[in-house]
Parts: sequence; structure tokens; C-alpha cells
Amino acid sequence: MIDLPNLNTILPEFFLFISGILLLVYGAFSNNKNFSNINILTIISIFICIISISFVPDNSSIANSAFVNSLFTNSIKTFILLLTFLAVYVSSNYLNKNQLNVFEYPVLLLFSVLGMLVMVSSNDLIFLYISIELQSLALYVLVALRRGSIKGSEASLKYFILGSIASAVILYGSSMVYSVVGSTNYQIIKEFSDQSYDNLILSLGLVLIISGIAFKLSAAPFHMWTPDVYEGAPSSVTTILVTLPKLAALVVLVNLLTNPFINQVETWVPIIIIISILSMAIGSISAIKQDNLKRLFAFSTIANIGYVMIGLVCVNDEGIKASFLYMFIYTLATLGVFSFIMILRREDRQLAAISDIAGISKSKPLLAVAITILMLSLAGIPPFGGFFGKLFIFTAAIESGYLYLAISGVIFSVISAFYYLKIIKAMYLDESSEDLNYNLDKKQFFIIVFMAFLMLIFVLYADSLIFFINYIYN
Amino acid sequence: MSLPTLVLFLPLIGCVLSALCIFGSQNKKAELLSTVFLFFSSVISIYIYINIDVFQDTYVIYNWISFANINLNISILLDPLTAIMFCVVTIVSAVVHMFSIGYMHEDQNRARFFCYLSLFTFAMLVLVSADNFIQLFLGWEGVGLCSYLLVGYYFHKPSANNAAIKAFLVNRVGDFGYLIAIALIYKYFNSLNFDEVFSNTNSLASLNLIFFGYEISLITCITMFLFMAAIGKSAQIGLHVWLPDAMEGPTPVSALIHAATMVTAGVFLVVRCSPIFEYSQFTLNLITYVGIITSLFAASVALLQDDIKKVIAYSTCSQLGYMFFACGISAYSLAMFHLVTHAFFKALLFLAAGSVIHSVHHEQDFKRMGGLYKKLPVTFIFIIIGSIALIGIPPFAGYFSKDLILEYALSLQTFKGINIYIFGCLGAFLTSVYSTRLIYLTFLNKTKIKSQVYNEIKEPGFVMIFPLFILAIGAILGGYLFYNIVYDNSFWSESIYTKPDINYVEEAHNIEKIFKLFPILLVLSACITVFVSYRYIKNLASLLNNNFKILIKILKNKWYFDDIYGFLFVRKMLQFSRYLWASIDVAIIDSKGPIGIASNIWKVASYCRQAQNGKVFSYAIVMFTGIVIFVSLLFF
Repeated sequence: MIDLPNLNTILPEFFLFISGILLLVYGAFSNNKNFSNINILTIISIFICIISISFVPDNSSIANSAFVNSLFTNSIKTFILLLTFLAVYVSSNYLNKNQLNVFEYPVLLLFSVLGMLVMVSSNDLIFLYISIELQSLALYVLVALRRGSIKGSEASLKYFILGSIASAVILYGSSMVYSVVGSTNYQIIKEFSDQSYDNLILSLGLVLIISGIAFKLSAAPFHMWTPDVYEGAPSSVTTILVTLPKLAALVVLVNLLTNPFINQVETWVPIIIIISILSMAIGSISAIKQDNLKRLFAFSTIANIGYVMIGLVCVNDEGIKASFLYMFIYTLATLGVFSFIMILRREDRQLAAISDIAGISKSKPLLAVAITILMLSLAGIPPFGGFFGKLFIFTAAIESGYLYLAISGVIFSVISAFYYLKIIKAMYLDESSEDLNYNLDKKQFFIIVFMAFLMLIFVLYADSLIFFINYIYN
Repeated sequence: MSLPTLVLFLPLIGCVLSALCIFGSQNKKAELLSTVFLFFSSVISIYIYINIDVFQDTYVIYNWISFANINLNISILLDPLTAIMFCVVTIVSAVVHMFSIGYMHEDQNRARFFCYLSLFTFAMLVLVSADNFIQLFLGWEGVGLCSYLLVGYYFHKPSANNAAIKAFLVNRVGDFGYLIAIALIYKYFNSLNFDEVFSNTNSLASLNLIFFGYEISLITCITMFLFMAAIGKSAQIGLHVWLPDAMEGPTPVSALIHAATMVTAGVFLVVRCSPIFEYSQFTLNLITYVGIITSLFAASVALLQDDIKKVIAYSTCSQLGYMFFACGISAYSLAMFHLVTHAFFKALLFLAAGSVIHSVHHEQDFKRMGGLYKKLPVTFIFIIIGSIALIGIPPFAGYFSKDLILEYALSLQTFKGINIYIFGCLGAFLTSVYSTRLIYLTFLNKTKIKSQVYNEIKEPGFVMIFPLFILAIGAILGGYLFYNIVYDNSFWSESIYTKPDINYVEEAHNIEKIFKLFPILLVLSACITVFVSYRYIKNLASLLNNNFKILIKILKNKWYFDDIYGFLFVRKMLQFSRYLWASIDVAIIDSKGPIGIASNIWKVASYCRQAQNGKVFSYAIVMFTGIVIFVSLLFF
């Protein structure tokens, strides 16, 4: 029997697990008409989960400190849950229209989020591996949710095979670490590496673990799955894929690099630098030739992960805070962008080509303005949010002496501006061949405008956001 | 707000209000407001001129630049020199504003015209009221800008645009000199305020600069560069090429900017800086000879021009030469006197010419006119008054000012002075010839206008005649009204350099009577000769053509200045910039730069797309390659 103080520690996860199981049972014993009920219950359980986070004591741990809570992890969890709520909120209409309104969808999503929450708190390689697997397995199924679609199945299969390889690599790395340390707990690894920081096997394990997590982050050269999976998955699932796992994986990476493997700086910094530059380059350059919006934003994700990595390279608090700030801005903007892609539907068919948004400014002027703001923000043009994200990243890089990273970041953001501007050009300057009268779902439209608004007025709350990040990270 | 400040800012207010009127195209309001403001301004400046003893002071408007040891104010240095310039600028500007109401009434966007005109007046007042070199430069560039805007006012005409650009570019050559002079003054005087610079000139007079192994006196160097600026603005020989072309602008602009005010800024600069110029005999000699050559050269070109405005433009060039050689013999007050009288009679001539042009529907070639004295008797009288004043027949204004310069030069008994007298008389003779020719061909000749058009020609209305009337008063009485500025050296109260114990007028009167009468007889005989030969020699044109073929060709081509400049600078420059454009910019910078990089990135993007082939095993290979590379990094 678990005593109550310990239960408090894992209260959100525990609650999410129970509600997932209950919803699964409820769904299995009712027909599909009850999808909207399940959707509402999902949202309710997400909110209860958010509330339950406030009961979690700071700096508490269970299972021999394999699972650790802090103000930071709690805040990240809250943010993940809020993003989950937004993703569920925005995609209900999409799911109904595309006959994806099956009860498994919210249940799988809840399990995936449960995996992410454990990932954020995990302080042990075993916990880490299990939570990553939980998160990934749920997502593999979600990607294949369109059972009739060949592309969806292909994407899911690719994601599953390559994801399994990545998991295997993480596991292999973990076993190497265990073979020299004799434990998988971060604290013990740290204590071991304090004594023998140049242990080759330990470094080898670290490299493998980083590679596996880089796969989850879709950072180059482990990015190849990204465009195919993003394109094949239903847009609502892609919306989840580009936001939630990225954030969770970033937290895991930061936890690993700054805690148990901080002594291996000389091992991992060059690797992260290579990953960063490769991601920026491949993400920026490959997207130029894409005509499909989902593929295009897959590459945009890769490029943005490259920028986030610059912050890690700095090996100081400033850099890591800049990374998280960038990640927040990026997830919000991308959520808006994919809500937009969900809107593009005509004659019972989802569209995603650039030509499908041609001349949209004439029929939907406000929408076009909002998307323009999101694009300019992603391109890093002041005074929108994305500019400040890049500004802090580059400032941190320059202050840590990585001038060349900042310069290459600027160059690649210039290149990537091309395809963001291409979208704006398509909306405003291109003539539409057909009558593009998309039905605006209120929820999706609201999210797009809200995200654009957040990007627009970023300057007004930038100070408090930075203050908040400072507060939770220390 | 003190009265001098009011004089300065009323035109600016007029300009801003006219600018606001552009948006509603409320042309009536714009022309009325700017003209009324200018008339107020001119009345105030006359009042100030009369009571100059009371008003003489420096009015600081605000502290403009203050750092290190530079402390510059925007201010009005109100001394007699400024007061007299205020008068000239505001009066001529006011009447030109009024004249423009009639002249421009067909233009639908004339609010813009009045805006520019008032802005010009403001800039010119800023120039003349400066108490430091930088504020003077501000006004200097301001009038240059307005000149550009107004010359190119008819921006749909390519010739007007070219003329505007030419005026601007040629003036830049002079401005370059001014900037160097400012730099030199700041380096050696550590100040840019007039009073500090002028009072320290004596102590730096003996300083020499080593320049490429040559020793040059500092003061000579500074004054040469200042004079270079003056050459550009006042269209002296070498940099005169812009002035005739600037006649592309509307005629009131030519009257205000290119006759009465802006072109005299060069003379004003030399007069204002007379305390420095006095220390360099070399520069003074240079000024004298540049003035002499310009006066003769421009007058000779004016002989054979057929465009009524271009004749007057070259005449302006020539008269500015008179002002400069007066400066060259340190008779700055005489130069100022001529500047003032010239402003009136030349503005009169231009506006009268504008009245003619307006009446004959914008025809400017007087060989296609003729016989207009019947149709435009009032204009005819005004142009006669202006011309008589110009060629210097007593008792008109030009006689007083011009002959005073010539007589004083002769009284000096120096080689320079005698040169001035001889060539000045020759210039006056030429002036007389082209003026008579202009009047004869425009008004007295048999008309060449189609009878249908000819019959409809009528005198312009009151708004155009009244300004002529005011200027005619200036042209007739200017000699008396402003006589005290030369007769009484104490008038200037040290605002310009005047030779101690010398009364220029009395010196001038000391020469023998025959020399006083000689210029008058010369110009009168020229008048009569030209008139008679046009009237009674039938085949005058062919006769002249046969006997003076080469000379006529040279004069018709304006001594080939434009062609030489075109060959030496313009075409070479165009060739060079075409080379830079085609061989450097397009071939290297563009194709290797933006376009090259972009096309290379495009290629790389194609490779990346091909790498994304959709096959799981190739994706896995990429992943493992990455892992292998990262692992192998451990061993370095």
C-alpha cells in the first residue's frame, strides 16, 4: 500500500493513468456516438490533472529518487497539459469531419501525455526508457489512426521501425552506462563521473543516449522520418507530434546533459554543435523545394530544433533558458500553423499544398493577417515573438564564445525566411485557380488568431515570461 | 517672438500651410496664404532695415549643436548686411509669389509650387541670417534643394529633370569646396562661429600649410575653397553650366532663384567672409579675374541666344561677374550695392519676360515673336526700364551701382583696376548689344506670330502687372534708395570689411570726367548701332554669318563648355559607371553574390529532396552514419 505523501508525488500521473483506463473502458462499452462525451471527459481530466499538479510537493521524489519533482518539472508539466488541451480543443471538428472520431484517439493521447509527464520527471535511465516507450507507442498508433489510408499506415510503420531503432539505441547506451556505473540513477551516475569523467564506456553510452533522444527531437541526422510521418499522419496528430514530444524530449536532454553527464561536456558539446548546425542547414535548405505545407513545416521543425540546440551548447543557465523560451514560442506558433492546415478542407478532402492557400487573403483577410504574423514570427522578424526567441539564443551563443553558431544561425534563418515569405506571397499575391471557400471552424480560427496575437504582443509580456522562466529554472 | 524671428519663420509657416493644402489640392488657399505671409515678412524686414540701429543684435533661436568645443546656435545674426539681404530676399520673393498667382493659374497642383517657393525663401533667409558656417551651409544646401525641386517642377518633362539634376550636381562641386573650407576652419580656428573665426584671422594669417611639398598660406587655402563654393552657387565661369539649363523651371522661379537671390549667395558668402578674404591677396586677384572673364564670356554668349530666358540667364551670369570683381578690389560695399540693384532690375526683366511668355502661350524663342509692343505696351515699358537699368544709363539703378564699380576700379590706378575698367566697359557694351537685340526682336520687329494667335494676345491682369510695378520702382529708384550703403561706410558697422578712411564714392568721383562719360557713351552708341542695323540693314543675318562665321559658331555653341564637360566628365563617368554596373555589379557581385548563392542553395535543396527518398533502410543508414560519426568523435 502506497502511503499518501508518496501518492502526492505522482498525483498527476496517477490521475491521468486512472482516467485513461476509465475512458478506455467507457469507450469500449459504448458506441462511437459517445465520442463527444469522451472528448469532453478528456478535457475535464486534463484540467483536473493540471489542478492536481498544485498538490505535488516541490523537490519530492519516490522510488529511490528515480522520479523527481521540482518547480521546474511541475511548470513544464502544466505547460504540456495546457498544450494538450489546446491540441484536443482545436482538433475536435477535424476529427469529426475525417471520421477519426473514435474513442481510442483521446485515450491514446492521454497515455502519450502520461509518458511525457514521466519523461519530464524521470531521474533514472530505466524510468526514462519506459516513459519514452509509453509516449512513443501511443503516438505510433495515433499516426496510423486513418486505417484506410496507405500513406498513414506507411508513415506509422516507418515511425515505428525507426523509433524502435532509436529506443534500442537509447537502451544500448543505458546498458553501457549501467555496465560501468552499476546503477541507472542520475545521482549515482553523476557521483561516478565526478571521479572518472573520462571513462570511455560512459561517454559511449552518453553518445548513444543523445542519438536516441535526438531522434525524438527530430534533429539531424536523425530527422529523416519527420517529413514522411508528418505528412502521412492526420493533421491533428501532426499538431501533437510537432509540439508535445519535442518539449518533453528537450527537458529530458537538458536533464541528462546538465545533471549526470555534466562532467562529459567535452564529449557532448561537439555532438550537439554538429546536430545543431546540421539541423539548421537541412531544415532551412530542404524546405525550400517543398510544395506540401505539412512537409514544409516538418523541415521548419528540424531547423527550429537546431536553434534550440544552440542554447544547450552554451552550457550555462542563460543558454538553457533561451532554449526553453525559444521552444515555448515555437510550440505556440506551430500550434497556430497546424490549426491553419486543419482548416484546409474542400469536398471531403484535406488539402495541404501551397497552391491551396493561393489568394486566401481575399476570402479570409483576417485569417491571412494572422498567418502572416505567424510566418513573420517563425522567420524571426521583429517585433514578433520569434525574433526575440532567436535574439536570446544568439545573444547567449555570442556571450559563450560561439560566434560562428550565431552567424550560421542568422544565415540559415535568412534562407528559411524564403519559404515563410513564400507562404505569405501565396496568400496575398498568387491568384487562386478555384474558388477557395474554406469553412472556418470557430475553434480553429480562434486558436490561429490567438497564437498570432500572442506573437504580436510578445514584447508586452516578454519581461514577465523571462522572469517566470528564471523563477522556475532556479 | 521678436520681429527678426518673425521675418524668418513667416515663410516657413506659409510653406507648411501650402504643404497641407497640397492634400486637398486647395490651390487658392495655398497661393493666398503663402503670398500674404511673404508680404508681411517683407514689410517687417523693410521696417527692420530702416531701424537697423535698434535691431542690430544676435537673436539666438535655439542651441543646435553642442559637443566638444563646438557650440553652434540656430540664430539670426542681424547686422546691416543681413538686414539688407532680408529686404532683398523678402521683397523679391513677395512680388514673385504674387506674380506666380497669375502665371501659374493654369497649373492644377500649384499648391506644391507655392510650398517650394516659400520653403526656398525660408532657406535663403536661414542662409543670410547665419552666425556660423554650419547654419550658412544648412541654408546653402536648403536653397540648392529648393532650386532642384523648382527647376524640375515640370517633372514630366525629361529636359526639366535633366536640368534639375545638372544644377544639383554642378552645385555639389562647389559644396565640396565649402565642406573642405569648413574642415580647415575648424581644424585651425577651433570654432565655426563667424565672430570667433574673424577675430582670430589676424593671428593665423602667417600660417603656411605644406601641401604636396608646396607651401600655401592657410588663409589662401581657406578662401580658395570658399570661393570655389561661391563659383558653384553664383555660376561663375567653369561651374556656370547649370544656370542656363535651370531656365527649364517656371519663369517666376528664374526671377527669384536664378536672378535675384540664390545665385547671389556666392557673392554674399564672399562679402560675409570679407574679413578673411582680405588676408589673401592671391585669392582676391583670382576673384577679380574670374569675375572679369565670366562677365565677358557670359555677355558674349548672350549675344546670340534666341531664348528670351537664356539671354537673361547669361546676363545674370555676367552681372555676377561684376559683383565678384568688385569684391576682388575689396570694394565689398559696392558689390553689395550692385547685388541689391541687380536683384530688382533682373527680377523685373525676368518677370516681364514671364509676362511675355505667358501672353504668347509659353513660346520662349523671340525670333518667333516680334511686334508685341502694340499688344503688350505695359510689359514693353517695364522691359525697357529693366534693360536700361541693366545696361547702366542714368538715372536708373544699374548706372549707379555698375559705373561706381568701374570708376572706383580706375581710381585705384593699379593694373588690376585698369583691367577691370577696360573689360567692364567692354562687358557693358556687350550687355547693351544683347539687351537691344532682345527688345528689338521681341517687341519692335515684324511679328512672326500667326495672326490668329497674335490678335488674341492681351496684357496680363493686375496680379502680374503690380509686381512688375514694384520692381520697376526698385529698378528706377534703387540707386537713390540704397545710396547710403556705399556713401557711408559707417552704415555697415563692421559687418563687412571696409577700407579705413576711404569713401568709395568720393574716390570714384575723383577720376577724370571723360572716363565717367565713356561707359555711358559706349552703351548708348551700342544701342543705337544695333537698333539701326536691325532696322535698316536688310540682310543683316547673312552678312554677319559670312564675315564672322567662326566667331558665331563658337558663340552659338556657348564656347563649347557643355561639349567639353560632356566629353571629359559626363561621358567618361557614364562609361565608367556602365563598366562598374555590367562588369562588377552584375557580373561579379550579383552573379557570385545573391543570385549565385540562391541558385546554389536551390541545387542543394534538390539534393536534399532526393535524399528524402521515402525508403526506411536509407533513413536508418543515415541514422547509423550519424551515430558512427558521433562515436568516432570520442577517439579524437
